[in-house]
Amino acid sequence: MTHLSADQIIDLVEGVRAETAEPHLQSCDVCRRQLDELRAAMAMAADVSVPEPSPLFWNHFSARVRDAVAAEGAPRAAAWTWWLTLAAGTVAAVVVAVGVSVYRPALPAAGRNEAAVAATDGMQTLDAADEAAISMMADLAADSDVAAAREGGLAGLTSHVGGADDALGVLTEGERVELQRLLKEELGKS
Amino acid sequence: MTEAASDPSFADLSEAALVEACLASRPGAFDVIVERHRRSVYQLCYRFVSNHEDASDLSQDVFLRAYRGLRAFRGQSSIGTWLYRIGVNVCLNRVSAKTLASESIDDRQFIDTRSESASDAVLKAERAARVRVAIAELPRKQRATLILRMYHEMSHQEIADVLGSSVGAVKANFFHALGNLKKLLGPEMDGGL
Repeated sequence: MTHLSADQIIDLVEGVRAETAEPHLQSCDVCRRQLDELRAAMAMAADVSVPEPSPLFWNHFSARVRDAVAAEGAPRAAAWTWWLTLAAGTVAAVVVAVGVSVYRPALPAAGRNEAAVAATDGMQTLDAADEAAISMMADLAADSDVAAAREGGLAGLTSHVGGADDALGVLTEGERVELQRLLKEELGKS
Repeated sequence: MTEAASDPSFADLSEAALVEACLASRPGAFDVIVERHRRSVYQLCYRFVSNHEDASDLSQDVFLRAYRGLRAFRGQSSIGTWLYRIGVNVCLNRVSAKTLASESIDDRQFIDTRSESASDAVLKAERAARVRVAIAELPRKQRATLILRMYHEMSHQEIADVLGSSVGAVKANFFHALGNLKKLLGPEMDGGL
């Protein structure tokens, strides 16, 4: 014998279905008893009301909420827009860091002074692939809001940003000047 | 579930217009939302915690969270349903059966004894307290389902939206909630019927 499902019994308890629509009930004591018990439980629960607070409570409550909201400031932007900003900032920071680290090995691996001299010559002979990479880097850096992303305070993000700063910090003066020129050139195209 | 707004400039605004007014930082707009929904939100919270102080604090928390998340409100459901969703989450996260501090009968406000004898009123209040405790012992989703269905007359679909589940799951939760309530109140129910 197949008993009534939970779905069917709830429909009967709530009066959505008439008992006559379930002939099984006439012949099954198990389902009949279950139906009666659930109805009794529902009746007992229905008899419980919420005590009405003092009439003064509502004005006091509204004032409390008003104060809390006033302390809060304007409604915030949706979380997803914030995460989008963070994600864009993170991607840009990583690209800048990777771009700088990829760029450095192209310099002569000699001493710092020699590298500074050689760097200028080396950058003048950048091939098309290097130009494309730097262009992409410049585009992404231009679109990013790293400052806003840094405000997010995510440890991973701040370390990425710091990583880029560190990488830039070890460039020689000549390398920085050339990198700045290239970025400006690319940004000027857009 | 709504109450009349006191500010005439906002009283007739639709829900969407009220939300817009809030986002535009128009003073008093959010007050109207609070005024319209404070009673139902308070009652929802009271169903979970069974005491006035906690229900009051939780209700305030619900409105504060709603204000913070106002920009995320897309109007796909009513503000009332949205507030219920926030309320259920706030209550389920903050309340457990072990921490339930149900009010004593003496603390309870406004027991209406005009239409029944004092002893009947006390007996009814005691029985209600036992039912509240039993409801508080139900598993979280069963408890939320029972409260929303029985006391806030929400449809199965609305409850499913609030709880992020399906209509079938809501019906199953309601079925098990009533069954467990019967077990928890067993002797009480047998004596009371």
